[in-house]
Amino acid sequence: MLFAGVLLRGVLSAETGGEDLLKQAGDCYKEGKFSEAGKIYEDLASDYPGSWQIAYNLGNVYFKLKQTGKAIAFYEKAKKLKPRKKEVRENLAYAKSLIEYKVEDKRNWYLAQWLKFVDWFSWNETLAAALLFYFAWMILSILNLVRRRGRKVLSLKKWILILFLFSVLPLATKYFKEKLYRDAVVISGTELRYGPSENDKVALSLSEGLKAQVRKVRGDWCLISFFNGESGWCEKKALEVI
Amino acid sequence: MIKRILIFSFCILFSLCPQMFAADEEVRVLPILDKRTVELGDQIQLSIRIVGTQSNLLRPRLPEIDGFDTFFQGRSNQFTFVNNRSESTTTFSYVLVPKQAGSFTLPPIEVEVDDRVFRTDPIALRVTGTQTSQNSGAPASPPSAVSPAGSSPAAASLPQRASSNSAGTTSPAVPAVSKNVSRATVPLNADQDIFMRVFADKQEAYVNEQILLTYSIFTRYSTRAEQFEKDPNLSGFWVEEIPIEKNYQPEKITLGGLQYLKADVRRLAVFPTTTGVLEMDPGVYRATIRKENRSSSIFDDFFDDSFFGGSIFARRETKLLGAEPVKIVVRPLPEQDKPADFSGMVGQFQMSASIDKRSVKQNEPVRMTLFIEGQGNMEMVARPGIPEMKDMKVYDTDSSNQFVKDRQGVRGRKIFEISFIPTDAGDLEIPPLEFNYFDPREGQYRVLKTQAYQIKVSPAPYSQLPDLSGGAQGDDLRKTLKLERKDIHFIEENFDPARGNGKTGIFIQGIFWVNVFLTAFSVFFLGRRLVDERLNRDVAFKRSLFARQALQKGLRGLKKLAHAKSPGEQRKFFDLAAKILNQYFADKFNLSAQGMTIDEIASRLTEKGFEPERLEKIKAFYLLCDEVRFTSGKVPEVRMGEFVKLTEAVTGFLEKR
Repeated sequence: MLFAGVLLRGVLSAETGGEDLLKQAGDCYKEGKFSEAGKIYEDLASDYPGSWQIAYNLGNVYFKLKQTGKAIAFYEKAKKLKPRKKEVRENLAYAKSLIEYKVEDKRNWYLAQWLKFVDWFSWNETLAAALLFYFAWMILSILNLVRRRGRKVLSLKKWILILFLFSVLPLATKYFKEKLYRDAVVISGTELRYGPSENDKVALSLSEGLKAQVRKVRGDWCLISFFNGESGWCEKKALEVI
Repeated sequence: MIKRILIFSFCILFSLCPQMFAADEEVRVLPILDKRTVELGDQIQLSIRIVGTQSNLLRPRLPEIDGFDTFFQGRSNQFTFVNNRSESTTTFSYVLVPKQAGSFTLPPIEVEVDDRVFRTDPIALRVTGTQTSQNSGAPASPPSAVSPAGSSPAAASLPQRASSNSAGTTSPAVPAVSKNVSRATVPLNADQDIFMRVFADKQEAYVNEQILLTYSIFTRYSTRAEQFEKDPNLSGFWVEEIPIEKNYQPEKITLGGLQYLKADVRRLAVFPTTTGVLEMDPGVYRATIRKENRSSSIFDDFFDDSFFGGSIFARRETKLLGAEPVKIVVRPLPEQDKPADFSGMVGQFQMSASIDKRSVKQNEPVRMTLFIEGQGNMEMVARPGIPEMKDMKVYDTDSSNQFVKDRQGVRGRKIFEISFIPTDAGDLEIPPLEFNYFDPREGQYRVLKTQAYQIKVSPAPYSQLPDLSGGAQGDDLRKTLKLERKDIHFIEENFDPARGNGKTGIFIQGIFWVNVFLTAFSVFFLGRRLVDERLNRDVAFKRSLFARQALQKGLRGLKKLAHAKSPGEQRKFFDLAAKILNQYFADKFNLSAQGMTIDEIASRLTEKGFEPERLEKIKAFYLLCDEVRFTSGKVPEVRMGEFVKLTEAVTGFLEKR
């Protein structure tokens, strides 16, 4: 429960206001004033960090402004909040199809598949599922304590416990994954170096739109890695953390 | 079973149908060369293939290609149905004849299709071999099909050669001055015994009206025609080369009392493309004459060319021949009565048409053959427009040309084959096709029309198949909706900022706090249950644990009797006090309260180290209680305070242990 309480801090609290801004941003977008729409959405994004709609709209704005890297970053953010939303997934796939490079996934296939499965659900969904199963388990436990009999209740309780543990697994994966690294997207062409300074040799050049994992941050530099095993340091400003 | 097989077959047929009627095909323009390296004297076959359009195409204009003469060979159309997909292909064929060795580039060729311009990529060409033929003044002949001017009349004594870039080409003339104009020993037109004249068959013409130009050399020498040193400037004209007949013979004429041989060296049909007074520079023609002692008649010598038996020691002299410019007054076409969709054609034309069948099944083509024949710029004749028909699809299946170019100019006919494919059943009509032109002889516009053709179209078998609107058979035979181009989806406007993260957040928060409460409740319940189980397992411990509690409870009941005045109540006090104390000791020592004696209590307390003085007091209290309970004498005064002190001393001692 404490673990759930820690996660619960991420749950967005209800706020009011911003409707006019949202409408204004939508109007700007429709009129083709993408820069103006982008500014408004950026303001809204800081007020509503848990809104997939605003992240998605920002992705659209940056796509229209030909900033594919940033567009992908915001689509990824939107996908993280609303993983199975068709429009989000399709826009992300389309934007990714336009970037110059792709990264081959060389992780263990079972790990990759498990993380893909976990990414199919949002934080809120996994948390809600775990809490629900926990609730059911608690109810059955109390019933069991009070009545002290009933094999059916006991059997059901066992299954609910298994489901609860299974629901906790994705939650724990998400939690510890974020403890290990944060996903990020390269938003501008940059160079990957062997160390966190301009003096270090360039390992490879990165194009915008590539998804990376931030492993370490040192000043203005981040140690990032890719699923193909390549890693190196690049400037923080070239990344947008998802 | 048969019914099922039929339905299945029809379904497959229908699934292929959408491809049959794919209307928007991708247009491709493909330049095809039979070789890219060629020897001098050989030739390259160039085909420009235009695939995927049914539009009425005009011949692409070839750009000037360095090092090559170009000749148009003709066009062909092909219309195919392959795998139920229709495709129209038009091929324009050219021949490239190299003029000199070296590396050259075929520049991009522009093809206009449906108001769009397609450009081919540049292609590198290489010409190997020496330029012997050019140096000798006998370059490779253009292909016979289109090179009448290049095929020298071998029998004639005046071997002639057309301009190096003009034979057969139909590009608007561009003046091309030879880089090596040899200013020969004899100045231009200095010799009255040899000169050139250009004749036009008319001095005035309408725009796009055919004018015949003839370049003739008048000579009194034994002369050999070479070629144009400077090509005629024919800018403002569309030019068609007219070949010199193979059996052409120069004619003898008398001018100013002198006899000359007149030989036509070039004939052109030109079509003015602009209005006004157009002046044509006739260019400079190069001829060589033989200088030797003449025999009795110059006309005999005229045919006595060095190539054909003249003395090999004879000295030849080059003559550069110019002529007076030719002026043509070009009038615009009258605006009066001009058809809105005027074709631009000027001349005399006729049109006829026929169709191959008048009764067909749905989706079966009806082929129309359309003939347009006449005199004028036949190459420009395009297929008449076809009115849009909702129930018919139209494809240009083929077209062919039959042109005649002779002294009378350019004439001939164009044949268009058009396929009409009815998409609906019923009585359909192919509307009349109209071709309009301007007749310069009559000075008025004329419109030619084909007749309207009635076509009876019976339904195709598969059209009787299941109802496309979703009938009982359930086979949907409509075309598949396909994505034509991709883009991102629109922004999401369904976001209520007041709700923040919405129901999910509220639900998660709610269920979290419910779970906290349930957890606390279950922990309490579980603890209690564990204690119960522990106590139930160890009765002695349980009695010992609750002995003091029972004592306290008994003392609370005893307090009610503490101030008893009547002997009965006082007797009750001592009775109850003895029982409470007795019960307490029984619980503590896990013994039966009924079987307890004062001696057993004393021995147990002594074992535990209880003070003897206090033990005596307990014994005394027990004896007093027994005395009061079992005798009828005077009841002593109730001393509650003493009893409480006594129990506290006992419990204080026993509870510590």
